[in-house]
Amino acid sequence: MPRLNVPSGSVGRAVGTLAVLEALRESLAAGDAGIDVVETGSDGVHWAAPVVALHGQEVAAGTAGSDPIAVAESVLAGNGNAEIAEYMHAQDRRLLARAGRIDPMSIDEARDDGAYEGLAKAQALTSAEGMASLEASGLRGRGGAYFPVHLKWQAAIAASALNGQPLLVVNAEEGEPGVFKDRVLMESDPHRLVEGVAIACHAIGAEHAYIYINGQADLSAQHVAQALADASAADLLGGLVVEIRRGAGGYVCGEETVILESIEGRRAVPRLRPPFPTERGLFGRPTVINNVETLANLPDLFRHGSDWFRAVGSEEASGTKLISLSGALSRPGLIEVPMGTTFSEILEIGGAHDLMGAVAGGPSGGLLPSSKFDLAIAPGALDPAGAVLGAGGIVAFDDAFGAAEVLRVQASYNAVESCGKCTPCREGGERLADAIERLGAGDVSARTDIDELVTIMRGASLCGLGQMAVAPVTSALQDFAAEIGVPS
Amino acid sequence: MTTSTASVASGASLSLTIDGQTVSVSAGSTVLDAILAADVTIPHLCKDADGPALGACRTCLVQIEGTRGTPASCHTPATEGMAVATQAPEVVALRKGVLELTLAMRSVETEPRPDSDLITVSAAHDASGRRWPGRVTTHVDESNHFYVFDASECILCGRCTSACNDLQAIGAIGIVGTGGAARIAVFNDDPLGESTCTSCGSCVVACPTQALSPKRPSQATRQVSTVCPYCGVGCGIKVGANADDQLVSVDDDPDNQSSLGLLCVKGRFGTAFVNHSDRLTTPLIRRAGRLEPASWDEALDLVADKFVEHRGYFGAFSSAKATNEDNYLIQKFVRLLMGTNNIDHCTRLCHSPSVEAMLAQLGSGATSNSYEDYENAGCVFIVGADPSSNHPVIASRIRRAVEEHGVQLIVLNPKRIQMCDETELWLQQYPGTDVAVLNGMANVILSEGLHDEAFIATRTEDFDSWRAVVESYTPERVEEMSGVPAEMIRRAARLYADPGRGGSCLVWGMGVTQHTNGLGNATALLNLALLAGQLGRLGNGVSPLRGQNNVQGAGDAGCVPDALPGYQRYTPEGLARFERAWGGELPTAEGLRATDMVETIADETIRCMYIVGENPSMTDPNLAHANELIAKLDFLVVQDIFLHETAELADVVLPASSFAEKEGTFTNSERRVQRVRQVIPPVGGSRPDWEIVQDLASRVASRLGLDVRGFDHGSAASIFDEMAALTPMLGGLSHARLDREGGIQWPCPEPDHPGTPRLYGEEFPRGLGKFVAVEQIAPAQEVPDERYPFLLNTGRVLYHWHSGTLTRRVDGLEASFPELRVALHPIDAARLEIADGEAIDVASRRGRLEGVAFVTEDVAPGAIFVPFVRLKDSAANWLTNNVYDETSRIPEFKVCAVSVQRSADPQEWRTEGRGSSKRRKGKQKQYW
Repeated sequence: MPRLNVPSGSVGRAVGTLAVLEALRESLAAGDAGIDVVETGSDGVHWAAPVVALHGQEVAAGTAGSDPIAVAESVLAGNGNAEIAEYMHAQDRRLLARAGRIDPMSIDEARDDGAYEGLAKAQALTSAEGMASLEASGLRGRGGAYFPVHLKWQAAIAASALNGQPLLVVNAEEGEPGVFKDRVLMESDPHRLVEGVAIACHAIGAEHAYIYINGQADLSAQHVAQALADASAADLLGGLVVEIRRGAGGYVCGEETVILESIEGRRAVPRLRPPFPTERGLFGRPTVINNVETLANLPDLFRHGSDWFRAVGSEEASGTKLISLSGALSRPGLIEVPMGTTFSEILEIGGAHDLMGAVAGGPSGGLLPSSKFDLAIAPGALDPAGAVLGAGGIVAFDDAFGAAEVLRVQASYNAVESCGKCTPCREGGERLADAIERLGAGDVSARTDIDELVTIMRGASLCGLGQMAVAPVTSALQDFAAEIGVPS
Repeated sequence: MTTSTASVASGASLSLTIDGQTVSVSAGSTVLDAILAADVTIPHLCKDADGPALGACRTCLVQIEGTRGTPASCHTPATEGMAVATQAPEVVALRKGVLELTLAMRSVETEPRPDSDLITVSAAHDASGRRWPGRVTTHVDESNHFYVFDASECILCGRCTSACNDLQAIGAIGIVGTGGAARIAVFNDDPLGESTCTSCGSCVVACPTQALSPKRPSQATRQVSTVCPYCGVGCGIKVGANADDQLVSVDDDPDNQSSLGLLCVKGRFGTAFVNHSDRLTTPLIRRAGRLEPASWDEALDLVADKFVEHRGYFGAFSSAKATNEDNYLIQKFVRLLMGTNNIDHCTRLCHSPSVEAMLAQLGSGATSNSYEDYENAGCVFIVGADPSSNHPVIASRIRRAVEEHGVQLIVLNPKRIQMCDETELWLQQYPGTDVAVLNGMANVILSEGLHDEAFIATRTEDFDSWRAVVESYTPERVEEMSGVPAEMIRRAARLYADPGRGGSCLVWGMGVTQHTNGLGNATALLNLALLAGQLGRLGNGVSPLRGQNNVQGAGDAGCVPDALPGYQRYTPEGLARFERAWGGELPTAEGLRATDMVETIADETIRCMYIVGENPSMTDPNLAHANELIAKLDFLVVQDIFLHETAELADVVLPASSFAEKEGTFTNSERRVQRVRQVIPPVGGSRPDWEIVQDLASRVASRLGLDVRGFDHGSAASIFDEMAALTPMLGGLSHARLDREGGIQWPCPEPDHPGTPRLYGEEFPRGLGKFVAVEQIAPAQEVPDERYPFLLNTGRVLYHWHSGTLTRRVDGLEASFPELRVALHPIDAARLEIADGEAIDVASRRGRLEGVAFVTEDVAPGAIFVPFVRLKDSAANWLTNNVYDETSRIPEFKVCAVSVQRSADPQEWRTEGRGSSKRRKGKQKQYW
């Protein structure tokens, strides 16, 4: 029986996929043709939604628009949308392989596509073999710090002699504007995360894991909960207990030690380090905190081996990276490209035209001018002035929006989202935003204040959020000085 | 807990350099500890000496060789060989920058407090309050009766919230809001006075600016370390006095091992009674029906004459508020010169059943463990006690045990107490059915095989005969008897017997004892501890929480009718020892217990009484009856610091000095003997109790022609030495040793004995622990009927002490709880059409009182609760029932039948601006 997929999820639903589904089911599923119409998760092709795709032949897809029945019939006839096809082909879709193609609420569809094969292989390995395989793969954390995953795991295992059995915490908070990769993963292919959680827990000897999901990401929580229930019913998790905890709201909740405070029921402020979470984390136990995307890499890594994993990406950073594309682009969405891909290549997939620059690394990332778009994505600083890969959000901007406005938005965001715990970030943030306004309005004396606040916030703030909150300013001062009001 | 200093003896030490100077600190120290140890000055606004590192103010930044950036020294561990630079120009500039941002949070127009840390360190860094335009929050909260919060002085360092949340585990205040909207606030942005705040004042002490400041500023010129005069926890306090000998401040004492730097509202703010104008300053003699001032000679001669005249019909109450030395001399006077063992004290009204049960089953009548065992336990089982109201510092330690160590609580109480917030296991039994519940738990432990067989076999006796009795107490049957669901009984039993971590501590209070079946209740508790083997090891034990500051010591000193000092029995050898030492003959017959002394006034067995530091005219049950008897005495002498209700009935009143005016020792609930020190000279013409007793004893001795020894001590230390020489469990103690080493827990038989935190590790004083079968009898002597359909439960509240003689004389305490609140369930309130805050009458067969309805689900339908403090002219003991536990003679304060109705002719309860008990929609109100 032919089947049509309507990639949906929270992005698709926002542009009417539920109505499309209803229309298609009414006219096609009920009729003699007996077409199966399935709501899948997002495929990342957000710019084209709502999309109708013929199951198994992804190129045969089209934007449903005002007449979904006609588009569906065209798709059923084998016609496709060249632009979507081009968008897909330009990527290297590993983590997104199932996204948009399977019913995320069906464990059978995930398993038909190989889900939980990696877990079975990982379980057959000794702890040392597993760790060796992980190390050989070169997998680094995808939350923004790109710390080698095996080192973090080993630290927790080492601390377990003193502080008890390790715990796994999944950072699924993703509160950063312009980043939506974890949502798509959880909505579209929750079993990939659940399998990754099971592999990680097996490797570090954890029997209890917490998935800390953004408080607004209801669909993610719903799909992950279903996946956990189904995996457990299918006896895939053994005795592993996985609890979902919802984010308390606020950018700072994505900071890993804030998650620990939040799960323990306290105010969302960062913890002091040391001790580091791997040594004494949640409830005083050694705790591995991994991002959703990091864990989503594990199933195929163990299913196909570390050589397969290293086959893409760069020498220093193997594998692929999910990139959330937004801003002044004609094809915003979520894409997956090998590590080492350049900004130009990425922005081209996104349909860039005449950009002034792009913000890389979120609200506390730098402003990268278009002249530097030949930089390749890689862990760490992409540009000394402040641009970092971070969680992989790229927000493009053009002349019409302008660098000054970008900077104002970032500065006021950082001031409001300062958790309020430490003096430099709390007291400095608002004053910095204010000084940027004054500079833009022609008050050249504001420059002294900016320089002083940048020094204080960077040098004295408690956590990375405060220390990094000045990056947009330093990069703008270097690359967009005239635009933000610095006299030439 | 204190910021560590250089070269601490314990643990490994490590060396590092601070600005080139080598300093050695203990392992685990922070870089800030090392900096302070090197006597280098560096700001650290958010680091309280006794509190955790918060890392919030960012003013203690330093440079460390080989480390990137400028870490905050308060939360950077010191490591061997580390080279720290505090004065490098870049890091000084950075600190100055942070200080200038901090200074801009307060208005430059306001004059700073001279001792403000912020101002001092800012001046040292040449930081200017005018570098940035001010960003000052203006909000003043004066709703607490002891201190004020002024947001315009707040730098959001978080020390107050840490003190509230981490130190006291109260959680009344927190930082809410992000970015520039961050502020110190109370839940729902209510005023502090309507929050869960307990007015402990830890936040005020922690505040490095004047954002939190006491309403009564302190100008102490000197400070003396002593012990809190309120409850039995025995907190260390440092009392400040001014040049006029007024007590003006109390600081906590982090070195005190019982309180660890914690205090409650009464300890910190409740000592103003000492200088109250109502203090008795001269002896009073009743002449023509009126008490009139008299000289000491006149008064003591009269008392001596009358006492001699009434030998044979005499009884005395000693005082759990007085020192060990005072109590020792009082009982010696009564026994040796008055020739009677009719000496008792208020333990009769609180823990006499506990003592009786422990003596019978274990062989010693005291708490077996230490407060630190709560922290080392897996389970703390709190029965019939409300530590948050009555032992607030123990409550804080238990809350911290729960929050920091994962200790699990079980609460058995017919009334919801604050501790119920910390547990799912609240067993709400029908009043008086404790034996059923405890036997039911024992039944579960046995049937599920959770009992400690080895302990039972080697350390106990009479197990089988006891077992036969509890076998019929199945959880289902107990559910019918007590109203506690069988499943809850099972869960509680499993947890108590097998807590997983450490052991289980049993903690109990008056809810167990103040029943006609008080002894049965206490017995059932001890059976449970023996069954599960929860005695004698770290993290387990039994703790009857002692109510008064020195109720343990008064008993230890011999102020009980059935034993000499140190609980030594009236054996020929024991008596001979004391007779030799004291130089006279001692009575051998057991004396009357406190409650019986009052009751036997009726048949003239007792005609004359000497009441020191007690107020039976407010604390005995059925006051109309009690006062009628007390008024019948031929001659009554009251020795106290205020003219309380009993003193008003006296023939002679002798003015005593308070705890702050004398030397001595108190012994707390964990058997810790601690030094009490004189802060100010005796107020007016008052004298310390021991001096009065000596003077009186000499006069009585000369009238009797007796040549007795030891009523001529020149100091409290000398009295203690005499007591220690005759009391083996105190034999190794002296004032000099306690001054040197701090408080020590008895038994401490030798000068080189370290004291005993935990009893019964190897054996019980009686040899084997004894199981004693006990059955659930009628829950109470008086049960509700048509005319008196409610059960009255009595107890205490945080802001008052017992009958209120002291706390009504401390402004803030009285203002915090001005009305006699009658806790009443909403169902009953609705049925009787009584609104919250409305004046109501409560009556029993014996009397009536008027209070204010406080509608709350904390009490069960059909039950009400009234504290026994006297407010206006109302007090609960006009209603309570003078029926007694047969063996221990404790009254049944906890249960009697009463009626409740709206008041026909309300007193003037409500005064403008005072505390309100109005219920506010959607929020839980605080009873205290």
